Amino acid sequence: MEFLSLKNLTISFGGVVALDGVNLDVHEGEILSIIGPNGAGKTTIFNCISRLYKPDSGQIVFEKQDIMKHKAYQVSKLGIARTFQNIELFTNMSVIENILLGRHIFRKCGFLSQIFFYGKSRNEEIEHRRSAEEVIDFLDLQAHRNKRIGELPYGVQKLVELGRALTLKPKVLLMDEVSSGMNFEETQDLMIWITDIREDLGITLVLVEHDMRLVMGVSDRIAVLDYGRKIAEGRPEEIQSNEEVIKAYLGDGDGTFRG
Amino acid sequence: MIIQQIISGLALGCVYGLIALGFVLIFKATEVINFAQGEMMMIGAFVAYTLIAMLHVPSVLAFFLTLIVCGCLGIILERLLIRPLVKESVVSIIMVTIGLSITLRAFAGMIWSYDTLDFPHLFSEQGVQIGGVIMSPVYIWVILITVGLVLLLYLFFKFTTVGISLQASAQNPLASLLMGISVKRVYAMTWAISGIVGAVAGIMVAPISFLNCNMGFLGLKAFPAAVIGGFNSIPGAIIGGVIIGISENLAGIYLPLWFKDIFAYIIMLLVLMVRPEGIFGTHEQKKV
Amino acid sequence: MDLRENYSQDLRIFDEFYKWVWLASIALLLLIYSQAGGYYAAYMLNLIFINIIAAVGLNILTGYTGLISLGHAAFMAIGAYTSAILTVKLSVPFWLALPISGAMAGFIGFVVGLPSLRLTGIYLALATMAFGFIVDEIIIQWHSVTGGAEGLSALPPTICGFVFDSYPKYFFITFVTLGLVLLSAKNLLRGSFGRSLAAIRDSETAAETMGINLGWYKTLAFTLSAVYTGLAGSLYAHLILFISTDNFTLLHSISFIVMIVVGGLGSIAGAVMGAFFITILPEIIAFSKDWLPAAIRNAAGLQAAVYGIVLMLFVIFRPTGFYGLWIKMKIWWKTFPL
Repeated sequence: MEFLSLKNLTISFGGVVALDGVNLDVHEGEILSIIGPNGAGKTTIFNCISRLYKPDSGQIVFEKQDIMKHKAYQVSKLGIARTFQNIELFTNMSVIENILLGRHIFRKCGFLSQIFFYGKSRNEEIEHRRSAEEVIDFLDLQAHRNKRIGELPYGVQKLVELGRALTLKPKVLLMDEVSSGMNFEETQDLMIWITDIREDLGITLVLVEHDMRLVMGVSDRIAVLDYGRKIAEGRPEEIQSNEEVIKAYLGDGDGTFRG
Repeated sequence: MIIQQIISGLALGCVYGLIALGFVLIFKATEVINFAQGEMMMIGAFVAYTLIAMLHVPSVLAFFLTLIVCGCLGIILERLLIRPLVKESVVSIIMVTIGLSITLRAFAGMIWSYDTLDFPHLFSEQGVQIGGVIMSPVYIWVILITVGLVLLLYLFFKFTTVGISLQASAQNPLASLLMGISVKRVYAMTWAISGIVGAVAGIMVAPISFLNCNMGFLGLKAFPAAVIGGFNSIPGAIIGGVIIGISENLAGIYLPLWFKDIFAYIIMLLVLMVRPEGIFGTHEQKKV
Repeated sequence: MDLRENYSQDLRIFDEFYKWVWLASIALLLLIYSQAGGYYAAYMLNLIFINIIAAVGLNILTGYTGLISLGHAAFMAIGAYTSAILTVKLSVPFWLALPISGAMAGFIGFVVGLPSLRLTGIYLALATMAFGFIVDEIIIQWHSVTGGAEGLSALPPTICGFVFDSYPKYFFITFVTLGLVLLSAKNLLRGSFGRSLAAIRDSETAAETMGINLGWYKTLAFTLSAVYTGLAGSLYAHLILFISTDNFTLLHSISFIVMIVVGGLGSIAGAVMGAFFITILPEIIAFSKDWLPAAIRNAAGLQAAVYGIVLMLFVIFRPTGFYGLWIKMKIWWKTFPL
């Protein structure tokens, strides 16, 4: 059954073809990693799914819904969440406020009832807060709860962005180079969280990554992009021994990433 | 009658264009919108007035002295007010330049009083015939000087090392720094040039318009000019200014007179709705 | 002392009861001062409160949502003129005219907000500036309704037969209106609405990804901001009893910006402090004239120069405004090693 499918996705920017007829199927419940050299079009795929970009041709279908028919702000309500390569946090707000924004799509109280902040509106706010605290617990962000984003180390900021996306209670989460800038221990922790997100929260994950240890460690399947085209797709062992992939990206085999 | 309006509109438009040029230069180099550009024009006019009418310095010498003074003023302002705000938000920078414009206007009022002064006539008063119409040569001079200045700047940016480094710093300050270009000096230079351009505008507009502390309001009309031409286009600034100048005068003829004052802003709003980048501007998209 | 036990404690406006006591005491003091402090004091208090309302309105748009408006005096004008026209020409009672004026301004704010969705930063600032000029011109040209350049008179408000014809009496009206404005604004901004606005300010891209409809919220911010400013306009008209476009110029729009910058962008307390400071600034200047050398003291542009310098200094050295300073002092006080 189709979960999230990209069909013949093509988009160019001023003469540069970023994506060239990409076909990709994401299976429900899996962890899929997209790898490839810089500029291969990986983030562009995410931006198309989030409707921040408008592809020139092709289709994106999620749970039978044509994404193209939705606007950028409607995508999260469909169940798709994402993080950004260059952190897009709300820098003038605190961690808890950033995470609370993930609850935006769940609000039921309209504008007018918020003016009075009594009863229903207040209870809803308390519910939002409780839900946000669950995410904070999950990612161990308690110490940073009230700190402003600007005061946080890079690695923590990445986690906050992850937390904000999780608060949306998505069905599929797109993670764009979450491990960049993380050291060995942080990446280890990240790998555990990724598996927990899939196991405990039942969220399908699509990762764009450069850290091969991470990719080989958690992925069910890997897709490889080069110059806007998918050049390989399969299980980690298959990708590792794929000639084209090695030539384009992994480097000539000398035993570094053997299973 | 129409030709007269068109030519005077052209001349006034050149002035708007020069002020807009001052904006655009600063914006291209530093992404700062200088709300005080109109006031810099006013200071130029007042300095020239002081030199010529009060200190009786010969006109040509006074002209160049004014340019030097205003160029230095530009450098000082950049160093004091803009440099500290390099990484701040657009809101902050707009606020500072608004504050600057208020302060400059007030200082001018304190120094030169709030009365309207008579700017000395720099050019002969004899009418010149153009296409069957007699016009004051001032207008012709304004147009000629503007064209000359724009040409000079074009050559400057295209062929001198300083000019090229200005462009480089505008496009990529970090890379320019690495290439050995002193970006700080570049910013200072940009403000100096804008000050000079503003001064020229002031000296030219004072005879055809008026000379008092509220001259800066003319500078507000340069905003529509910059919007129409495109905020990051140098030729756009002048062309935008000319469009505003001419259409204002034509509006004065064909539409009720009160329309004339706000016509420029109506055009600006229309352009903002339809094509915010203006005629020659470029549209930037943020990469996430 | 600072430990919370449940979430609702975190949500309270003031986390400790004594702060409410402080606020009530200050309010009471102001009331007493307005009645006993003399005519001029009462006038100033009224003016301060009116400016606070307008500043809170502008802060919602500029401080919270990050949309710059250089034309906010126009909304105040709309509120003022609507109220004056309603009460004088249509004999609408004041207690109705006030909210209608707010609604009228809000409606125009909505109309203006819609097309301006695509504009950002400087372009929006310029568009709002142009809007201000155009509204001014329309008021002048629409002679039959607005009295044109000669201006329009307004009557002191009457509620249930009681005429508020003096500044101390009028203070009760501004006091109550300010209270309602502050309470509603605080409630809106501490909940999901306020967060959504701030999200738009900080990162439109991320805000969209979080499901925030940019167009809807920006328009709403414009509308709400205009409503508050319109209310301020109506109160203003019935305070000074004669309005003309001279009361609502670009310089007035700029002075509102100065208020929220000096007070601290993005906080209601900031708007309050900023409006208070800037409203009494002319008094401060007049007061300290004796200390200045004669040449400066009598110069006509002194007040404007001070405004400009204050604005620049605050933006450069104290961008978080008075409110930021207040927070810093509180933290310093709390962490003082004694």
